[in-house]
Order: sequence, then structure tokens, then C-alpha cells
Amino acid sequence: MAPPERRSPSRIGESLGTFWRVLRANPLSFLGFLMVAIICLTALVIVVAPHLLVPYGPQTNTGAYSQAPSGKHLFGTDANGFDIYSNVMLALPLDLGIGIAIAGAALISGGALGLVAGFYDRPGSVGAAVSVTIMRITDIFLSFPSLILALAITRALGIGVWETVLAIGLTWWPFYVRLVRGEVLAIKNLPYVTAARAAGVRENRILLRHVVRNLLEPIVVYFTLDIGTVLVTYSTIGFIGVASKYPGPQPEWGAMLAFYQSAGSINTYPWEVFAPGLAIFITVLAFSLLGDGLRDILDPRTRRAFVRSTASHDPPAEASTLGPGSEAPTAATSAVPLEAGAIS
Amino acid sequence: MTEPILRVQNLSITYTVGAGVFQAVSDVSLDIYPRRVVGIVGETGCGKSTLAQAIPRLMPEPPASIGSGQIFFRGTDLVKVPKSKMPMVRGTGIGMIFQEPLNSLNPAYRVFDQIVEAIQIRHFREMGLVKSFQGGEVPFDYSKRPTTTVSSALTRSVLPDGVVEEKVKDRIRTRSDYRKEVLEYLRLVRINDPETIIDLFPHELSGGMRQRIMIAMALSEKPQLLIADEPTSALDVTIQAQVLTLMKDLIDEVDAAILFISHDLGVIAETADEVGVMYAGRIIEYGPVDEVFRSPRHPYTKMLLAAAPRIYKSDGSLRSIPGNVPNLSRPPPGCRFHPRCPIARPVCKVDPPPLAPVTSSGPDTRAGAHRSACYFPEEVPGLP
Repeated sequence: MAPPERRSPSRIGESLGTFWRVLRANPLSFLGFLMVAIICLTALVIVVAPHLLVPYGPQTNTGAYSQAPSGKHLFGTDANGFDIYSNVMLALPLDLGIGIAIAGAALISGGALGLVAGFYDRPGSVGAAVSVTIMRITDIFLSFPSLILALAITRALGIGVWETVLAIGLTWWPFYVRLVRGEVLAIKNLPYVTAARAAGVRENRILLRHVVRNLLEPIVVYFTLDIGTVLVTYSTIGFIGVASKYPGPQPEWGAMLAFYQSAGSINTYPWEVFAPGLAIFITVLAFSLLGDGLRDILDPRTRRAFVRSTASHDPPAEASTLGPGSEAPTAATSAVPLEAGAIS
Repeated sequence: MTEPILRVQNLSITYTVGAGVFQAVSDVSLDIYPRRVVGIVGETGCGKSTLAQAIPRLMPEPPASIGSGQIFFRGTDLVKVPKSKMPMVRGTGIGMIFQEPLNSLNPAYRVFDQIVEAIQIRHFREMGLVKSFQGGEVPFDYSKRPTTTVSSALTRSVLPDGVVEEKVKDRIRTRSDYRKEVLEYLRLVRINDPETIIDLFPHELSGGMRQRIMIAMALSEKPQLLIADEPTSALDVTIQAQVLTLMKDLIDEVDAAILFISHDLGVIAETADEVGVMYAGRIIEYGPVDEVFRSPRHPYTKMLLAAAPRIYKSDGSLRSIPGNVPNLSRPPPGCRFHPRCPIARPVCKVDPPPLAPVTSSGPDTRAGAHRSACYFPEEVPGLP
């Protein structure tokens, strides 16, 4: 008996190879992937060893007041003598973490509810009652503008990072319920699900293996794009000034924007507003580009098309050139049985 | 005489849509014996696909529901089997081939993964991980099986019902074993170059190829009954011919009875031993294919055969059956064909005629003998 690990290396290697080829074939998603990788790596370095990338503390008076960007102060300094580059960098792990955490929590909770609501809604069953309950609560949440709802919850909970995260998290999941439920409803009536059922596959396995696998592509793409949206929403709440305080021990981009904008310095010292704005812009853009690329990677159809166009010498890719629309494989394979049938 | 592998008795299926109740299948009885091919032919909406889906209980319930009747598969009434236990019956005894080869394969998986799922289900049954359905009481509740998934059982050997772990370990197969088996099935359905095909995704295959994969999937469970629901309807004529040739060859190789559903008279004539003609939810004529198609004894069958287009017909016009298919939420009383029937009499409007044996030389009561649900079968040959 061979150990089950035997299958792993080749399979993972193959997937990574495909991943790489698809990325290479699509310059924009490659750029997005690269940007996200750099952003995440930078955030990690800042958390683990901040002194490598961040020259000053968040509230260190550098002695240079309201200086324009220079070699020493990459994004200049503000009226308090704080280094803006340091503050922008120190805000990165927080903003990135918030984006991923809120979108992730919404994905998991909303996604699970959406699966249940979509898959187990056979009329007359307990599942149908649960499904209706989930969907009506979702509708109620969706009928509020989510930003206003998040703001209201933040005000109720009090000013602070965690309060804001909780508030956005509470308003974010319904989008995923709708999205996932819609996809499940579309997929669960497709013939291949019935075919699996006819083959004796149990319902729970059908849900995981057939339904969830085919949801993955739109959901992951939406999730990636959504990280950017969360970031923007958080920054908006930060901009209004209820999320976190700036200047303070933990800077945040939205709060930075708000502070420098309200200081009225946008005409005199534009770099103060420009730096955190640019940080938000780049991060959101990176995730948007990556999201587009992920769609290509996760969908076997486009994936093969990309692989084909970039690496036609690759054996599996070569086989696939016979692929969609072409009758070549049929003609080749059917010649034999047809002749056999004619003889017999 | 051997026992029929499938015996459908007085089966009625209704669809409840809004306030309307549609009698999709009414009072259908059918026996299928081992290694026989039974064809069901009829127009769109006559209930033949509902019948096909009802046997493995695949139709959505609700809106569909079995009003009355029994479906005996190897002696067990599937109507009484709880839904949670049906996967075992399906995976053990009844294989199915569907109409739409284009959508019947999961686009996210390679051919290998499509087929291996079915093989694993059978394999685990054979290992005793999942009990085999041998007729009689369904052994245990499939949904409460302690083994969570096939793959986790493969590696962890978590067994229900105290199966000895060592015994199972010996019989656990590796991926390459499964690969060999999948390749065997690909060769069985006459796929050339299976080594390449096995690693392709469904969208890289043509319609005919996909239907072969579907057939391989259904066969890999080693079913005792194979239900083919219009397996060739979505394919173009040449591919259709190839798939039909394949199915005819397989009938001899695979030890299974086949229920073949089609709207195509020619396809049924080619493949089936016996044929049932359905109209408005009822089987109105049944018998050996040659007999039914050469000398039909129900006016509907006669007119249906006359309506089939023929290349060499001289006058070039197509015939149709006057009137419309009845609304199944309010079917006509008596014989459901009487509003369109040229030989209808008052009695036809009162009682539905029974499916009674007919032959020119007196009634033949053997199973599979020619039967017709018409009060005046002897008048049918005289119809134009």
C-alpha cells in the first residue's frame, strides 16, 4: 500500500505551474498579484521588525515641521513634526488586517448561511423555514445603507478600532448570503448535480464537492475585490472620525486623511493628504487586479485557454488544443468503434 | 420464470404547481427482467422522463409526489424507502444516463475525478464500508454512516459496524489503482487514447465524448438496472449513431437490464427488446418492439408511427395527429386519447380501457406479450 502523500507533490506542483502560467499570460493580474504579495510582505515586516522599514515612531517629533517630501522624509512631515511616511507604513498592517478580517468573517458567516439557505430549501421541510428566516433577516440588513448602519453601530459601541471592525462586520455578511444563495440555487439544479445524486452521492457530499467547488470561483473573486471595498468603508468611517484617533499610537489611513484634510492644509501641504490617500488607492487597486486574475485561474475553462496560449509545448496543454468545439477527439476515437460495429 | 428486476405497479405521480395538480404519470405498470432492454416512447410531456426519474426517486419532491403505486426493485418497494437511504439504492443498483451530456459533467473536475467518484462508491460498498443493497430491507440509514467522506475513509479507515480495520487496509486502493480502473471503463466505452482523455476537463470534450464519459460513470457502478433518459437526443445524427452502437454493444457486455427512454421511434426500434408507448401519462400499448411497430394495436401508436418523417415518402407531406395533447391537470375521462381518436365510441369516454393482451390468435398472457389499452384493437390495422 502506498502512502497517500504520494499524490500530493505532483498535484501541487502542477497547480502551481498552472497558476504561474496564467499569471504570466495576463500582465495586469500579474501586477495585482505582485502588488498584493509586496503589500502583505511589507505588512508582515512592519509587524515583526518595524525598524527595518519605519524610521520613526508614530508620534516622534522629528524636529522638521511641515517639510515637503525629501530623501529623509519620503512623504514629508506635518505641523507636529511627525514623519508621514512612518505613519502611513505603521497604518498598513492595521488597514490590511481589517480588510481581510472583515471580508473573511463576512465570507465565512454569510457564505455558510447562504449555503444553508440555498441548498436546503426544499418546500415543506425544516430547511425551508430556516432558509426563509435567514433570507428575511438578510433582507432587513440589506435594506439599510450599510455605511449608515455601520456608523450608527459604531456610535452606539463607542469610538475605537475594534468597535468599528465589529460594526462593519455586522453589516457586511448579508451581501455574501445573497451572493452564495443565488449561486447555490443556480448550481444545485444543474444536470451534473442530479447526475451525482443518481450515482449515489449523498447530499452533504454533493454540497461540498459539487456545489461549493463551483461556487468558489465567483465567491473568491468577489471576496478579493471586497477586501478593497471594506478598506474604503473603514477609511470612510475613519474619515468621519469615529473609528480611531489621529495622531495617536496606532495610525490609520482614514483618520490620517480626516486629520490632515480638516487641518486645511490640502493647498499648502498637499503631501499630507496625498500619502494616506495613495496608500488606500494602491492597496484597493492591487486587490482588484488580483481578483480579476483569480477568476482566470479558478475557472478551468479560461485557465486552460491561458495555459494553451503560453505553453503549447506542455503535454497536457497540447492535448487540450484538441479541445472545445473541435471534433478532432471524437473523430479520432469514434473511428474505431464504428468500424468494429460495422464488422460485427 | 425469473423474477423481474424492476416491477412498477400502478404508479401514479402528480406535480402540484400552485393550485393545479398535474397527473404526470397515471397507473403505470411495468416489468423489466434481467438483461432485457425496455424502451419507453412517447411525445414530449407524456410523462416518460418523470417515470424514469421516479424509479430512483430523483424527481423533486415536492412539487412531484407519488400518489399511489409501488416500485419494486429487487423485491424492495422503493416508494417506502426513506429519502435518506436512497443514495445507497442509487449507488448500488440503479445507474442513470441523462439527456444533456453538455451539462451532466461537473465542469470543475477532470474526467478521472468524475468517474472515480462512482467507482469509489461501489468500491466502498464492496469493501463493506458501505453495505450493499441486495434487496429486502435497506440495511441501515446511509445518512447516519459514521464515515464522513469516501476520501477520509480511504486514509483513516474509520469504519461503521465494526468492520475489521486490517481487512479494509488490505483492500484500500491507491490513486494509481483507481486510475487503472477508470482507464478500463474509458476503454469499455470505446474512448480512443484514454490516457490523454482521463486528464481533460469536460469542456475540452465534444458532446459524443461527454456522453461516453456519462455512460462510463453509470456503468462503473456495475448497476443491475440502467436507466437511459434520452441519452442520444442532444447529439447530432452521426454521433447519435456511434453512441447507439456503443450502447447496443454494451448491452451484451454489461450484465444489466436497461430502461431506455426516447421520443425517437427509430432509436427505440434499434435498441429495445420490448417497448411501451406512453400517452398523457399512461402506457397505452406494450409489447415486443417488432410486433408493436409492425402491427400496432392502439390508434395512437398507429398514428404516431404514421407521423414519423420518412426520407423516401413519395408525397413529401408530413402527417400529424389532429387535436392537442390533453391538459394533464384535467385529463379527459375514460381513454385519454378519445378526443383525438378516429375510432372512439361512447364507451371510450366513460372508463379508461385496461392494458389487455392482444394477438391475432387470441389473447397471449405471457409477460412481455403484446398488450393494448384500447377497446377496439382489432380495428386499428384498418386505419390509414
